Amino acid sequence: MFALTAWSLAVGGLTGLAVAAPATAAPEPAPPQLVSYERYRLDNGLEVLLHRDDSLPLVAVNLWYHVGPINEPKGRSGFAHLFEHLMFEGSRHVGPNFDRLLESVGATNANGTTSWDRTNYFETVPSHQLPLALWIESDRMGFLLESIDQQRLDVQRDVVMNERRQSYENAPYGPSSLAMLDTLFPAGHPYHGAVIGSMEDLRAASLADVRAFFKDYYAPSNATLALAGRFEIREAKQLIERYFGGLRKSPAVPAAASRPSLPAATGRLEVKENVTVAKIAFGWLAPPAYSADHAPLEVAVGILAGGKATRLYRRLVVDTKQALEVDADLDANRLATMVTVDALARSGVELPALEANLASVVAELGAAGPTALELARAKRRLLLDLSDELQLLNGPGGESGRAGLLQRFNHYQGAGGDLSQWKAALEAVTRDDVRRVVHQHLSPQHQLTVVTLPTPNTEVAK
Amino acid sequence: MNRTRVHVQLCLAPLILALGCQAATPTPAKKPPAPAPIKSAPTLDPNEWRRQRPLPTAPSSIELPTPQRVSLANGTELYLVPRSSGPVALSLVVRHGAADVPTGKSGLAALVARMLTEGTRKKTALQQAETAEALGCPLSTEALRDSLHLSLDVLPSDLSSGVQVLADALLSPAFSPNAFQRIRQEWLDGLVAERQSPARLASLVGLRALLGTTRGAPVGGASPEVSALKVRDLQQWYGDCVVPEDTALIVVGPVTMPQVVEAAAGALAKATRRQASKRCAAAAADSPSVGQARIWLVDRPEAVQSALFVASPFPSFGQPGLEARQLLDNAFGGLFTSRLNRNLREVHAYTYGVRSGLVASRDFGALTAATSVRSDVTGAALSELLREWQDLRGPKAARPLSTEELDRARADRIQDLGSALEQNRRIASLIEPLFVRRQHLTSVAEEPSRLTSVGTVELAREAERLVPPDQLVLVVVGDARTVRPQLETLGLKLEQAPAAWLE
Repeated sequence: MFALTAWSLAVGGLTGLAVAAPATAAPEPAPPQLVSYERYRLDNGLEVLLHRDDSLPLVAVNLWYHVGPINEPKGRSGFAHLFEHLMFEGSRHVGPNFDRLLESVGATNANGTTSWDRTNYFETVPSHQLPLALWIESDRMGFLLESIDQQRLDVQRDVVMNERRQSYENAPYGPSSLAMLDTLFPAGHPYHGAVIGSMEDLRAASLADVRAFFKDYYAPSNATLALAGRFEIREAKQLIERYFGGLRKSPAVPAAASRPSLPAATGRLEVKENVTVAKIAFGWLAPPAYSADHAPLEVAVGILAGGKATRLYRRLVVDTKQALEVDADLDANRLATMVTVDALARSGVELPALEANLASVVAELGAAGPTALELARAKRRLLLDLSDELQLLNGPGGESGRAGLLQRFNHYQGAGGDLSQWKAALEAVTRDDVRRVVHQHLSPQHQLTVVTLPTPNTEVAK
Repeated sequence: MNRTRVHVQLCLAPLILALGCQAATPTPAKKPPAPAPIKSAPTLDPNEWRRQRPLPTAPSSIELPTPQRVSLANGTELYLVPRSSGPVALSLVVRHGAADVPTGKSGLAALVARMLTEGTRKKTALQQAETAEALGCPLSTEALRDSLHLSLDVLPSDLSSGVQVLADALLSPAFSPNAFQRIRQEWLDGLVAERQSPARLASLVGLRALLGTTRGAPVGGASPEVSALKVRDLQQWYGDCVVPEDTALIVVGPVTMPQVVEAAAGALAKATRRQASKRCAAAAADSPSVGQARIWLVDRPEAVQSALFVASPFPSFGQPGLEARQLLDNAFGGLFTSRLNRNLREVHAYTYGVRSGLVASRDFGALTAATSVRSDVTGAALSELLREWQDLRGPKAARPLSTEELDRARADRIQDLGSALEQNRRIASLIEPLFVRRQHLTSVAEEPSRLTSVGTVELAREAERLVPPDQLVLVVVGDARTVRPQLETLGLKLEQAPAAWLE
């Protein structure tokens, strides 16, 4: 009953689910790509991915620069993200009103985000406004710098500092999550300092840094443009050539940092925060995105939490009543995948007992693996989520939906990257795969424990 | 696949889409310089052509859905929006919610919704969860002010199983006393956890100040009232309010109405036809604090930011002018380029972002604004917010919303409706209010034309309904030692929020 039918989740017409085959259907031949697309490069190195779907008169424009905190120089944590803010401040020919221009034509899902290894900019526009979106994206790719002065840098620096306060310093468990990140990625690791960066480093950012970063990394040869939606291929190629083709060809992009040989950051931290509910979190570093163990880890996370039939929920929320909420998460990136599980403590609960139970649930999965039903449920959910996501031309954050997924697979796997392979990898996960990756990567000796304790004053103590 | 990510721009308001094309006539951002009488080599920017804003190509229109509807003999309504692909989004909706609980029993509807996933008469909670999650998605339930929702996404081949899961949960809840003991305590701990967020705390205080402690009570309830709830309270409310005549199944996906009817006939038709009890109605409102000029302060020692919340009464859902109020909200504080965000973020850098919000429920309405600002500029930020409020409102507004602002707000709103067609779950969220609000089936499809008919005159008329700044409800959650001196300079009476409002 729970077995996933081969390709029952294949994207029908590239936009969503085909009606599923009955569970007893014979395996079908090798499937087509889940999202069909054309890839090519301009002479200046800009990579282009085109996915056509005429269902709606919309087109998603999604531009990835292959630069992120991984490329930040020492003492400039948070700079890639600060730079992303500056990319909304205007450019030589378009002027300063990107957001106004886009909103006036009804652009949706217009935003930019920064993750460890990349920065993206995206918007979904009515198809007839594709030229406008390409005009804006190309102008800020080629002609940003003249619009950035000290005043604009100072304003956006303050906005980012406010973001840091709002998302971390003044947010429940924000200081604890920063402590987790800074310990798992210690000084010297390219991911150290969190994407948001430290206040000290943000203060130090200068106009000279802005110019150097733009010159080094914001070039056609370090970017990939994806379009998804209703457009004519020939016309889109002409527009892309018109707006991006003449942009400067830049010298080779400086190589990103590689994974340092640092000792595994493990141990235990207690973080005192202005909260009233204690929290226990475990963190581990596992192999990078799309390595062999990525898919089994995704399944393992789905077996641990995410529904009322999952292990952490059953044990800690229902059976022992020690936890108010439980969560498990996975963040896969170029240098490492971070896996976390956490539990919010019920009132009056002994934290050491909660911590011990949290650990034992993970250990049991690593010792005996999941049941066949647990495995089937977790895989089915992942594949249903994927098919749900594939309805979108572009998803939240610009790395989901069809344009976002094309970009994500292209970024981490290059020309060989394919969503179909990822889906096949998820389907192929076995009970023993899950047992093995949990045993190997989520082990006590590789574990960092962060305990958030309620106190009026926030202070971090080891 | 959640992953760490820092969003830079605020997620732009409720997204959009103006396929009918409200696009402004393209104009160059700047005039190209006239050719200069130069003798030497030309110095013109070879990229000067880029100053020309490109012309749009031919626009297309988007067709918003009109659902199919049939009724079962017991009064349960079935809505379907057929789609060619995607998972099937299923929602079971009851048009009664937190607004319909008796005085002193806040949280009741929310606890009923929560208990619907704690087992049925035939299945334990674990069996119920396993059945739903075997289909690929946890069963989700939620109470809102005027409605109660159960939702599940399934493969098209699992339509009947999915409808059965929803129907069992709604029609045969176990309401086990043992389970309720655990869930109530868990819920109370959850209320404590929720109030750790300064922004959430500010809105809880603000709505009570605006609407009184009955109507202004949070949907999730006040702790003392939740503590006193008994299983029989849940059973009573369930019996009074959850009836076939006020229940609908909403289906969006690649299935047909005969398939939906067949699935519903086995699962939903067994309930006996009846109407909601007269007890299932809104409690009498108590006195709000509007008109008593004051800032409600909640001390959060050493906080580096202050959470601000501002609210004015505004018409409820059913009163004329809803579309104009939606557009006013969008232009004032909904868009990234709204007046509030432009001022507090882009000009003054007081905040990461500020948003207004339109509350339009069956019994009341409000226009709110919320943000978090640096502690040392709390007074200045609130002062700017109040200035923007004053400039917008009244018959002699200093800066009434312009045509350009209206067009931008409208393009956003219409395109947002269009972009909802990308995802079946989002389409379901457009259709659910048709049932809850008893709207005509064509209401979603006709919304763009209603929005198009709004002019600046209508916006100004709605703006006149906002109270002046000295009558607004204002809440500040921040470090009292730092912010009190700043707030005192505003000339508004400052009071500590009553402890009961924090519960």
